[in-house]
Order: sequence, then structure tokens, then C-alpha cells
Amino acid sequence: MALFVQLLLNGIWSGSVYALLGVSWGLIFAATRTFHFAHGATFVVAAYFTYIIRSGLGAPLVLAAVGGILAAVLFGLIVEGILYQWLRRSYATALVIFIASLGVLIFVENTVAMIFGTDAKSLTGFPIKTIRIGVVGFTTLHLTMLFTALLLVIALMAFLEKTNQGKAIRAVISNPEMAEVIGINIRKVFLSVHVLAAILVGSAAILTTLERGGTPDLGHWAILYAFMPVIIGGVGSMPGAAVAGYIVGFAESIGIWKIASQWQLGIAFIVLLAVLVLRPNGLFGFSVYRGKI
Amino acid sequence: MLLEVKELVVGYRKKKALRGVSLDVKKGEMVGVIGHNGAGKTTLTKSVFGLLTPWTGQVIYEGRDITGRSTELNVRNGLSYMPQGQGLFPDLSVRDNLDLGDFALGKEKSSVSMEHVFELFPILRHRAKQKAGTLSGGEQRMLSLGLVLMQHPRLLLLDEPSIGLAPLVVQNVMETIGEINNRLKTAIIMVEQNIEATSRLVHRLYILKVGRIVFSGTSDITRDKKKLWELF
Amino acid sequence: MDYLIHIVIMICIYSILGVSFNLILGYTGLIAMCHAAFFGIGAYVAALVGIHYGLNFLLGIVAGMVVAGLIGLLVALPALRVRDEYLIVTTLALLMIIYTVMMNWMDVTRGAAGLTGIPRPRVLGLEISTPLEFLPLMVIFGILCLLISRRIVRSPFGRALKAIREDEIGAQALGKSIGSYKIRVFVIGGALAAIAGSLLAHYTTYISPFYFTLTDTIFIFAVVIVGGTANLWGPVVGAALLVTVTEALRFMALSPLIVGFTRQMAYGLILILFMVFRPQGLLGEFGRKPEEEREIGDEEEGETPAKERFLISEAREIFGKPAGQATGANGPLLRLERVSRSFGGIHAVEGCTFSLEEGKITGLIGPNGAGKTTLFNVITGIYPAESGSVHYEDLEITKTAAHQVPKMGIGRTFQNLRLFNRMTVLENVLVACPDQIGERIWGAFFRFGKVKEQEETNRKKAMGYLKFVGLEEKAGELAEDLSFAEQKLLSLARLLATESRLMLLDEPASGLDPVFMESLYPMIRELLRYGKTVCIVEHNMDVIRAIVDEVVFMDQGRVLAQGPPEEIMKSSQLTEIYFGS
Repeated sequence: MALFVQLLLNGIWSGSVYALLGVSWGLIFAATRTFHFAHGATFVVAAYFTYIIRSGLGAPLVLAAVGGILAAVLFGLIVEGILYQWLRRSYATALVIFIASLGVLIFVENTVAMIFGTDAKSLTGFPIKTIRIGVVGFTTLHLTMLFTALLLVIALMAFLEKTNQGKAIRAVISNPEMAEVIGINIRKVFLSVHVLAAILVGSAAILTTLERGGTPDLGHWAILYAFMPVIIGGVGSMPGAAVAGYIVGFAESIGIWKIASQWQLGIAFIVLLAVLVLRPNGLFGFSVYRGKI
Repeated sequence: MLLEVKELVVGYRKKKALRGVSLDVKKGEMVGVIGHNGAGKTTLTKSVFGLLTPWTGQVIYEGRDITGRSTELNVRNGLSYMPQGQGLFPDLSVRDNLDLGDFALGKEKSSVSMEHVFELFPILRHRAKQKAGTLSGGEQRMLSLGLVLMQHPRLLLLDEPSIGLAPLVVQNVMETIGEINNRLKTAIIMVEQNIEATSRLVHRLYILKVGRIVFSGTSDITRDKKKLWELF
Repeated sequence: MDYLIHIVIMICIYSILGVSFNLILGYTGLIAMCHAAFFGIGAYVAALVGIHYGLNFLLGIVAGMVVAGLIGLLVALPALRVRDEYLIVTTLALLMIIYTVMMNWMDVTRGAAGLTGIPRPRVLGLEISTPLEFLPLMVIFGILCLLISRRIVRSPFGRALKAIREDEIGAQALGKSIGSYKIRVFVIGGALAAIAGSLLAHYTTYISPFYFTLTDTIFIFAVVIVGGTANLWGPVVGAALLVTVTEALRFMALSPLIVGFTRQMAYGLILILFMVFRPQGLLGEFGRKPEEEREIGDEEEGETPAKERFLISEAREIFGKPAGQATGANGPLLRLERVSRSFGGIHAVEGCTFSLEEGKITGLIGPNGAGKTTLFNVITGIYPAESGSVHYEDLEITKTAAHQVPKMGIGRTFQNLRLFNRMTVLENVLVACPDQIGERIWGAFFRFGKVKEQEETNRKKAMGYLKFVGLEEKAGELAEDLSFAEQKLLSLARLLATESRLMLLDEPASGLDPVFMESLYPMIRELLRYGKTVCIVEHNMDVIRAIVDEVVFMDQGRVLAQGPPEEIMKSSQLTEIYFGS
């Protein structure tokens, strides 16, 4: 029983990160209809900028984190505002944009690897204390992960619900043609979702780096765990992606119990395939997705 | 003259959808453009509104050339467009939909408040919190109208407002459109396939056939059924 | 020197990978992310066969192909049901699962440590171990795969793949079973990729899962995209460029540690730059050489505008034999009885009963939303009837699948044309010809002579149809470059090529200049003389008055009347329904 609780908790910690990844990518995908593979690159940018500011400049961790997230925001703006919008203006097909996105991921990951090497960079300055409740244990970092995920996801949903710009984003997700008809600036909306997404994915990057150190190939890892919850939860639903993130976390955690931990990635993907085959619109059946990639 | 369309030629890639269309609308007037599928109705409204850029021709609104102008600018200047079909945001609530109506107007909120819209469409008040996509066909059409009304347009382009609706509902919608024209003095261009309902409502009528205006005059023409079959 | 040979060998390997992936991505338009998995399967199977059983390397290659082919089948099945980004995700998932298996099935694959000691190939008793010795082997296999790909691409099978890429529903309406094609292309593409894997394994004598990751799939993407998709030589050029560039960086890098990264940075950058400046790749989508440069030897099937080479027969000869017997006296050709179909509670078609007589032109008219196009969709099997029955001749076709309806002799055009835009006018018509032996793999490879013969015949027929509609001058042009009116004519020619006896035309006049439309009337009436039966959905009353024998009037999903045009138009009740309600 205690084991089960421990597994459950482990699922919550990793699920929190997956939720941040999924919600951020899902927002971009639902609003821009672009398969933004380079989201993994944003993750890497955030992680390494935080590292530079912290270890290179010796700044306090909080400042470094803010810096890392700002770097991620800037990066997202460049990719969307310069690359993608240039391509769209040249009537690029969805495949072309997708491949450019792939290129960005490869380029960024390897540039980082070249500059910093592939050894795991750790972030110091976070007081990690272990907490034990009975036989079950976790750390303050784990709690921070959960807290951050809940805070950011709820904040995002509140932003989408209550603010004008948030409504405009939801409008574009719901009916992009009509959004243009009533005069919403679509390009501005695309930029704003990248900014919002960068905050979430940047946070996920910093948390992950704190937990296990940052490596350049985390970009690959991040993008995979970004679209998984979105497909499982159903495109267009932010809460769906968040919940699906936790489902993936749990599935992996419990799967590890029975199967060796190296199969972790495989388990997640089998869940994904099962959902695709059985419920193509996602578990929460909410799919506003109407267009092509 | 509120709107003048001069010799509009519009196409998609190789296909010419409008082959030199001219029409005009006066302030407060209600004009109908009828034609069947493929005649170019939607192309016409989209080109006037700026969603499509014409190959040649001009659109003059309130004395200014607005050919191919951005939709944002048009909305700000009192020119609104209700697209065919689902002209609303199905996943947002009725209230949120209406709220968005004057998004482009920015700081200067329109004088048409949500309260006005609820007066015109009482059913929407009941459904304010519901998701727009769950409303019935007729209610959705009302919401679309309400949405564009929030922009307080001086000229309203309606693209087939009766499409997909049951006859009784069509009557309702048409009556409301008539009220909008009467009460709010909004000029309206309505492109339609429903000749009967349109002709009863409008001051003047155009008939569009394969990208050309083949008739311009009053709705009396619709009583001559033989002529109608010919014109179509 | 050895190093240069090594580069050529790697180019060969990546050419094979690119050529095989091009079949899936370039020709069929499927964005599959799992190609590195096929590569890896070929490598691992060959390695295991060699290490544990010491069999001849050729058997290892064959084994690898078989396993990869089976995995290809497994990949194709879920892929059939999903489109675009869901396909990306599905194939990515499969790639990751296979990668996980490679990493963790310790007993077989030794996981991350990889497999060492893969034996060298032996040919005629000689062991091949140096790069120079490997070179001929690699080149031979490279050429072999290229030839296989060439055969596929230039066969009717390859042509059908392109049609599916351009418009699935359009291809289906010509009788192509979409699922069957997708499965076959995944199996073949996978098997060919496995060859590259097996060769790599024997060449490097060591493999590990790290050679077959997502990054490697993206590299294969790059090879195809940079060279030019849907171009036979594209992947070879792409492989040459990318391998050379990434290897050349070896000399520029500062330390061996950085080498790997600069190479990858380079190809990531190449991807971005190409997408921005030259998305069609080096050889472009069609790799057509300008007229002057074309050599005589190039003129093989599938690449030349036929107008230069073939005789154009008279339409009479072409149309002389409609599919099936022209019985005429055995009752109506098409009979619908109480056919109903709804969508989400809306009765699009309700209790429709009418019949079409052979040798007549029937017009289907009614106000918007009456259900006319839905009726066409029901007849052709796109949205099968929920109740009631559809009979064609004496057969019940109510439940017949959409890709099989054309084989019965019913063809249609679409309101939005659904032409195969990036294929030539002639190819658009050729794809529609029925019963092509070359569309089957066995036929394409092993009945070469018969296929060639059939192609000749079909070309003549196709040019005949094009001549009938007045498009023979444009045979070599791309469908998307035609004017709208010409595209409509092409749509008609394509329908004629299916040799359907019952032709359903969906709003043929829409968007056409009235004068132009008038010129088509004699053409359509002419079809009746060749045993065709025509049904037209139209809004344009000029057309109805001019060519239609009988009118079926629909409203709100129901058939209200059937009779001659003058009668229908005189009825005040129907007039009221049509013009207002």
C-alpha cells in the first residue's frame, strides 16, 4: 500500500512537468495549427540560459530562473515571429514549416552541445530537503514542481478566461476564420501564445534541470512529452492536456514498478498508441481541431 | 452613397469568380443580392470586406477607397461582415462571443451594448452562459447577428443569413434583420439564395449569375416566375 | 583515399534510405517519422543472423527485409485511420517503442552496449573487409534499390500513389483502394530501408540503438527534402550533399568532440535554410529538365508528354466499348428506393425514391440544402445509405465501398474538382483507366511486358479523351496550371477515362462562363450516343433547359417530382418551393 502511494506521488511529480509541457505545446498547436517541434529547443534554451546566469555570472537562482524564462520567451518570439511568419507569407505548406521546425530543434540542441558539452549541468541554490511521511518520501523540489504546475496552468486558464487577449486567443482556437472577420489580429495572437507557452515550458525546463541536471538532448525528450498529453487529452483542451500529463506520469510510475525502468519511454508511447487507436479524439473527446497540420 | 462597388473582378488562382460586378448601397438602405450556388455571392461579400483582394475594380466606402483593406480597419470604420454558416465561436459562451464583438474597436467601446443585443434577441439572454456551439441553428444565427451588431456597423454585409435554417426560423431571422435596418438605421447588403424571403425585405434587388449582375431593380421582378427561371 | 571511399559508401547507404523514404513521403505524401526504425531493424536482424547463425550475409539482408516489411505492415494499420499530425504522432510513437525495445531487450540486442563482432560479408569465398572492397557491394545495392524505386515510380502503381497524395477522395472515386496502397508503400519502403541497415551492420561491424534515433529519422527527412521530394534522383543528390557537407566539417572542427555536433548543427541549419529559400529541394518537385536538355534515353514511361509520341485516335474508336453490355431494355439503370441518410440528427436525404433511365440525361435540381450532393455521395458509397436500397442494373450496391463503386461502372465529378494538381493532365486521365495490371506490385515488377502494352493502349485512349474535350495540346502541363475552365474539362476527361456507364456530374456549370458552358452542351449530349447515362446536379437553369431530358426535383432531402423540364418549371407549387421557402 505504501508502495502504491509512493508510486502515485512519483507520478504526480513527473506528471507536473509533463502537464506544463503538454499545456504549453497544446496551446501553440491549437491556436496556430502548427506542429511546433522546436518547442523542445525552447526548453533547452531556458535550461541553459538559467545555467549560464547562475553558474557563469553567479546570480541568485531566482534571478537566473527569470532570465532563463525571458530567454525562452525571446526565443519563441523569434521562431514564430521571424521564421514561421516568413514561411507563411511565402505560402509554405504545413510540411515545410514542420521541417523547418525540426531543423531548429536539431540546430539548437547541437549548438548547445558544442558550446557546453553533453555532461549534465546542474543548478545549485535550491534547498532540497527530504520530507518523510511514514514510509513515503519526497523532496521540497517535488513539491515545488507540483505547486508550479498548478499555479501556472491555473493562471493560464484564468488568463484565457478573463482577459481580453485571452478571449481573443480562445476565439482563434475556436474559429480562426471568424476571428479574422471580427478584426482580431491573428499574427499578434500567434505571438502571444508563444510568449505564454514559453513561460510554462521554461519553468518545466528549470525544474527538470534542478532535478536531474540539464543536457542538450532534453529537447527531444521535452517535445515527445509535450505532444503526448495533448493527443491523449484531446487537442484544444488545456485542462485535458494537464490531466493527461498526470495520467502519463502515473502510467509510467506504475509501469516502472512492474517493468524495468528503462522501458519507461516505451510505456508512455504504448499508452499514446492505445488512445490513438481507441479514442482518436483524445480521452476528453474535446477536439476543436479542424484544419490540416 | 455609402458603398460603391465598381467593376469588381475577383478570382481564386485560375478561376474567375466575379467578372466585373458593380453595385451600390445608400445610407440606411437594404439591398439584396440573390444567386444560386457558385454564382459568386460569398466571393462578393468577402472582396468587399477585405478578406479577398480583387484582381481589378474598386470598393469605395464612405467616399474612401477601401479595396483590399484589412478587416480590422473595416470593422473600426463601421463596416461589418457576418460570414456564411457558423459565424461565431462555438467553444465560447454566448456572453464571451458578444464580448468579443467589439474587440477590434479597442478603447472606444461601441454604443451598442450587450443589453441592446439581448433586447433584440431575448433568447440569447437566457443562454448567456451556454457554449455557443450548443445553441440551436436559429439561435446560433441570432448570436452571429448579435456579434456583428456589437460592432455598431453603419453597413452590414450578410452572407446567406437563412442558410440551413427551418422555414419558420428563417422568418424570424429575416424579421430581425428588418428590425436592425429599421431601428438602428444600419445599411445592409444581404446575399441570399432564398428569393422569397429576401424580396419581401429589401428595398432593391440584384441578381448575380456566374459572376455577373444580370438584373438590378426592385423586388417586383420576383413575382414574374417565368422571368425568374430565365434569369437563373 | 580510404576516407573518400568511406564517404561514397555512406552516400550509398543514405541514398537507399532516402529513396525508400521518398516513396512514403514524396510520392504518397505520408509524413512518417519511423523510418530510422526500419533502418535499425535491418541492421539488428542482419547482425543477429550473422552473429548467431553465421549464415551468408545475403540471407541476413533478406531476413531484415522480411521483418521490416512486417513491421511496416504494423505501422501502416493505425496509419490508415489517421491523417497528418496524427500520423506524425503515431509513427513517432512506433519509432520510440522500437527504440525502447532495442535499448532494453538485453538478451537479444545487448541494449545500449550494442552488438559487436558482426561478421564481414563473404562473396565467393572472399571476405570483404576494406572500404575499397565494400565499395562495389554498396554501389550495386544502391543501384538495385534505385532501380526498384524507379520501377515503382514509373509504373501505374507509382502514379496511383501520387494521386492519393494529391487527393485521396478523388483517387478513391477512380477505384483506388487507399488503404491497400498505403500498406504496400509502407511495407516496401520499410523493406528497402532495411537493406541499408543490413549493409551498415556488416560494414561497421558494430551497431547500437544510438544509430537509429529520432535524429536519424530527421536526417533521412533532410536527405529527401533537400534533394527534392517525388523526384527519383532527389534522394541521391540529397544524400551526396548532406553526407559530404557533414563529413567535410570533420576537417574544420577544432576537436574530435565537437565534430559530431557541428555535423548535426550543419544539417539542422541546412534544413532551415532550404525551407526558407528553396522548399522544393535541389531538384524540385518534378525534376523536369528543360526541353532542350532532355535526351532520347530519358523517354521512358511516365516522364514524357505523350503528345509528342503517340497517335491520337478518333473518339469513336475510344468510346466504342462501354464497360459492360448496353442492354437498354431491362429497366432503369439506377434505382433508388426509400434511401435515407442523416448526419447528426439532420435528415440530409429522406426516403428518396427515383430511377435513372439508360441513355438519358437527368437533371437533379432543388433549392440549397435539398440533399442533391449528399445523394451523389450515397450512391457512390462515400456516405452509405442508412436505410433503403440502391440498385445499379440488377445489383444491389447499397453497401458497396467507395473505391469499389467505380468498378461497377459508376463515376462522378466533384464540385471542387479534386484534380491531382501536381500531376500532368495526361497523368490525371491515365490514373483513371480501369483494371491496370501495373497497379499491382506483382504486375509492376514481373509482368513488365504486359504492363507496357497496357500503358500504350491506355495512353492512346487517354489522348483520345483529351482530344474529345479539347485538351490534347495541354497533355504535358500540370493540372494546377490550367485555367479553371480547362480544369473542368480535365475533370470530365478523367471521368470518361473510367469508362463508367453512369456518369454523375456535380454542378458542371458552376463558375463557368455561360458562353463556354454552351459550347459543352453538344459534347455532353454526344456522350449519350456512346452508351453513357448522365445525371447532373445543377442550379443553372440554362443548362437544365438545354440538355436535360428529365428533371428530378428535390427539397429537404425528399424527391418531390420527376418529369420533363417544362412540366416541372410550369408547376407553381415547385416554383414556389425553389424560389422561396
